[in-house]
Amino acid sequence: MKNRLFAWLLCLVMLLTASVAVAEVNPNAGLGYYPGTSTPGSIAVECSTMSVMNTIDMTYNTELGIARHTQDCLVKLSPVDNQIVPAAAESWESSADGLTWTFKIRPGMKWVNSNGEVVGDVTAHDFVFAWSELLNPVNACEYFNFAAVFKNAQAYYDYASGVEGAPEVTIDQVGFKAVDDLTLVCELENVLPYFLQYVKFEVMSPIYEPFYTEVGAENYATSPDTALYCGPFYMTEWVLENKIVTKKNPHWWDAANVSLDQIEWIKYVDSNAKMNAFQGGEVDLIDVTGEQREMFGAEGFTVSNYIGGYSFYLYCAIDNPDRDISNLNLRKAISYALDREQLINTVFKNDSEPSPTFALGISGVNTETFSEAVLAANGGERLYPVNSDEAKAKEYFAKALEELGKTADQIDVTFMVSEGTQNELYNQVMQEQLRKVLGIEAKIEVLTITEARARRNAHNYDLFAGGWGPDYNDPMTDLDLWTTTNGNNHTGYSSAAYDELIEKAKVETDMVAREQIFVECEKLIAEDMPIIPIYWRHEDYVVSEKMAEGYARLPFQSYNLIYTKLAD
Amino acid sequence: MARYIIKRLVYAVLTLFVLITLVFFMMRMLPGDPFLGEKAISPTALANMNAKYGLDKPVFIQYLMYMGNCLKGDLGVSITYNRPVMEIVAESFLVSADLGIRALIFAVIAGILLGAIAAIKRGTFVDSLSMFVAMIGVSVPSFILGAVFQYFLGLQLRKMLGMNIFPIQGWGTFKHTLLPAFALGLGSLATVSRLMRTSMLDVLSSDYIKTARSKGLSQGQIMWRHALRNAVMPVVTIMGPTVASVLTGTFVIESIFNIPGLGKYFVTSIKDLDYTMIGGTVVFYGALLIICTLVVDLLYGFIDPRVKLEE
Amino acid sequence: MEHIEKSRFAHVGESAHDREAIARPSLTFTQDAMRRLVKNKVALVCVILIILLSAMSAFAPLFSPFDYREQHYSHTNAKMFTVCNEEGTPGYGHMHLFGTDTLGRDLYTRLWMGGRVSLIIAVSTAIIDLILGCIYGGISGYFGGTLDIIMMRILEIINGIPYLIIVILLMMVLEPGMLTIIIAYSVVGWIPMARLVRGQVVALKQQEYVAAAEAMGASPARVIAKHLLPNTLSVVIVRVTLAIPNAIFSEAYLSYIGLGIPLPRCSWGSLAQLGIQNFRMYPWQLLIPAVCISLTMLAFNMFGDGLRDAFDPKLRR
Repeated sequence: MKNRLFAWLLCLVMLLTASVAVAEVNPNAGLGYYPGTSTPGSIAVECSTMSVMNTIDMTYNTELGIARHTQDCLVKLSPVDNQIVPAAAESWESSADGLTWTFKIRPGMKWVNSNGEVVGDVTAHDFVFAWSELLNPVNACEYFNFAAVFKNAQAYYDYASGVEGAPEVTIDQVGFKAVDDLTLVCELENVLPYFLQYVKFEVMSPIYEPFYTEVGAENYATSPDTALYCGPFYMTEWVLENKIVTKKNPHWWDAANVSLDQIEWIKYVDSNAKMNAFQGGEVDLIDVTGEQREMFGAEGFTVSNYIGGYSFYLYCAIDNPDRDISNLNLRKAISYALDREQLINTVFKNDSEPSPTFALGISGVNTETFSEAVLAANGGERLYPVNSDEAKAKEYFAKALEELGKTADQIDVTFMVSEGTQNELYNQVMQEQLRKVLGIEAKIEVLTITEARARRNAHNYDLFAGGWGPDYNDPMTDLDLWTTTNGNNHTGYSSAAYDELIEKAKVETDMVAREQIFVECEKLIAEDMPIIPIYWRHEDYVVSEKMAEGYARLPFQSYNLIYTKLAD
Repeated sequence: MARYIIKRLVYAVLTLFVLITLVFFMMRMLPGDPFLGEKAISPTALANMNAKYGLDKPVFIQYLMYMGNCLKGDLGVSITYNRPVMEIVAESFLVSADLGIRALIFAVIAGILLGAIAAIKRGTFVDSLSMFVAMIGVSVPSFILGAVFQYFLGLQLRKMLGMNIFPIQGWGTFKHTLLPAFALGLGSLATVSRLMRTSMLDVLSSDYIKTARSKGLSQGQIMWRHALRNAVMPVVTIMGPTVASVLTGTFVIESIFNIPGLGKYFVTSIKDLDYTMIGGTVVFYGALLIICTLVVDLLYGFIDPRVKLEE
Repeated sequence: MEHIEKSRFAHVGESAHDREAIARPSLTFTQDAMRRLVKNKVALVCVILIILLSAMSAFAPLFSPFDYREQHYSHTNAKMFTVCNEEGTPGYGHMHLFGTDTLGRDLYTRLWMGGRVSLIIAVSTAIIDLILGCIYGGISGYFGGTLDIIMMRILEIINGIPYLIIVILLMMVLEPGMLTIIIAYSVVGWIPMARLVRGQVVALKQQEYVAAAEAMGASPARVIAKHLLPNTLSVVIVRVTLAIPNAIFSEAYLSYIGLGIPLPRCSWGSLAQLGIQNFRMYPWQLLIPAVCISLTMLAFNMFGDGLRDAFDPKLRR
């Protein structure tokens, strides 16, 4: 009970901070527990994956997080309210049909090198060049599809990749053009209501062509010296798999408002090690585990949290009739048998929420979140229970047993798990809950992440705990996963009704009607249950008292430390 | 002697060749695909990625190309990091070797001394004490040892004294090497000292020591000239592979103390299925291992005149 | 000088039988070794400790009111000696002697379940190491020449293949379980032993007694088994006692990468690995399995020393 009250209070506090329009205020300011690192003007933060620094090659959230600080896209997200604000583009306008966008590049933006010296000016050509490289098949960029929204871009990519029968398209025909140094005109293939969400993506950062060709494509951004920077910070040091040091860029257009001199990004592998480092004043911001959160809580030190927009669920491989899991009633029995609240309390020990619906959907049309709209349409009822509903679980289970012609102990269900302590704990709780409520002896199979992914994509598993983070702020990013042709639909779910709903939503322009279609999709998922939604994750982190305010951790921007103000 | 070394070098190249071949085909049998990410990739993009790293050709052709490149000293480009494997291995090996050498010096000197003293003073308090130290090294796994050192000597000591004696994590200064080298060396120290003690006991009961005693040599001379030199043999045998593995770093100590060493790549490259990186680490480690065993075998001849190398 | 009466001495006569009689009972090698082992108090205590740990692992879970996988959500991470307050479970009102883990599972029961796994793996892999290592190292060292060179190069190759690759490939072929772990560990575990035995044999084979045995027509197998191997015993035993902790930790490492004992079963290694995550908050979660591991190690090591003293022909008096 106490815990919930505390969580509620915390929500209130967070709402208040949002209303005064400051990115984030350190709740522990002035406590005197953890003063943080000793170098003045500098902070050190945890950053998990930082394997590549060439923006067009990036795939990890954390890599993009560093690029957010070293490069400027056309637009970016505000650390205050997560809305689109101007960055490299000073202003922009779109044509009446929404297909042509014209960006005015901010004049006087500079490229600097790893010594902080000015090398050249940022122009519209740099964007054109970067996007051409993103689409260049020789570079084999995983996220090329962010640039594939432009007119003829996909056709060019297919042609250049040598796809058989693809008509000839040259890069000049692709829909982005630098009219002059400061004007960039983009033509889209289709209307995209959230097009700006694409260009804010750090993969779409500009690249300075003369430098790129000078160092060579294969060497570009393999060290601080072989890249250029146009963002608020520039990189001075990079020890692979260990740390990256970025310094304030005095030539950045808004440098006057940046008070940090330096950010050090450190990679930790061991969770005890980073805890010790934090308490010993060697790092200022770290993510914490549930147990560590309890420990800080006991000391009276507040642990902050944010919602990354991730929804976690169990994939079910339903397209193989030989597998017991292909039985709908068995999946429903499992969903009702799982006690989501206890699962969170035992494994994560934080404010993560049991999923009431699959998609979190950051914002709804008339409600605060999309999920609330689903609940409203469902008479306030959740689609998936908080606690285990034994009566319903057993009812469905009895039906399943009858259909399968098996007894409870003959049911063969295996959790496929990718290695990692927390993953293993998480699956062991579900395993035990199924044993307790349904009497199923489920097995657990632990695999490396690469093998687990390969088997997931081949639908060669029963249950696999996975998650999905949104690419843009619209329920579509989550819901189109379960269409028959989506490459991320690893369940084998194929429903004509569902596919039709998504197609309808794609062309529907009335936002309320569109949301209603999405609500129907949610209901269909709950009915056919290709996945069993479990929880929405909240990420916990602690911040040393050195960082007073101005930092942000929000959906789509795991880190935004540009305007961090330090305590005196 | 020279003939022997040349012969061994030829064998070394052959061994390395077989090793690379074996590993090349074994890693291709590993389940999974290096390019499967969290999010789906279109078949065209996947084909482009495979083409970029030369994975689109038949495996045997890839093997021939890889071998050809190896001969030229080119280990390819890492799939995960998108930069030359040679560069990554060279950079991180310097760090690992730096740490490893410190740990080894500590382990070997302390281990031989502890073991020898324990044997000479067999059954006394000194014996028990030195074996107790050895026992800690054996019986506490390095992930516990590292974590405990870091917490008590790193964090708590700093809190108590208010000054930074042992940095908690990181790499760069001499101070940073102390705790990890100690944690890394303790395991080897235990092995060395226990082996040393038993072999020293063997030697001390042998006839030539009795002869030396009856000749009237001083205790010091007996120990130094006769006992130690012979007793160190089994330790030398075990040192070859130990040196290779300690120099190339360990995953656990590197993770705990956040050291940019080579050790982690042995694990992560396999988990990420970074083929070029797996190949690079294996070639490097294999070569180092072979060199170390060769050196050990040569040392054997120098230390023990009974062993004839030419055989 | 005191005068001694001649009459105090009597001639007993000559008996060929008595003269050749062996006053002490005749002992075989093993009997002699056993006799000396039993005399060694420390070794004896260690044997008792090993038996005690094995017995607890075998029987304690049978008599515990808790199941090793049963999770108590109302008292996760409980302190030692917490009484279970979850009504309706068989363990209600009983005490969690060693507390509970992150998922609220009884650590006392899990400790002894883990003991079963760890002890079986440790002992069986050590035995496999010993057998393979002695045979391989003995043959390689004794025959020498080209055979030796080839056999040693094979060792280098096996040693050079990353352990993880071998393990993951094995995992694809075999069912996860105890046997798989033992096989996976044995594939590479015997190599240091083989190297060590070979080194010793190379040094020993120039000794006179080997030449004598060969001169008397002993077969190579007999020379290796009866003359060379017993003389390497002292070093070998130390190596075996070192192999036991290695096996226990390898198991922990393997369970981390997925080839460990199938979840929710556990081993001492995996318990310690879970405990280390929380050792700042709940130190006993680490301490208890760590103490068990260390005790086992200590017992095996001391026992190894005792065995060494008993079996080593060089120390035979």
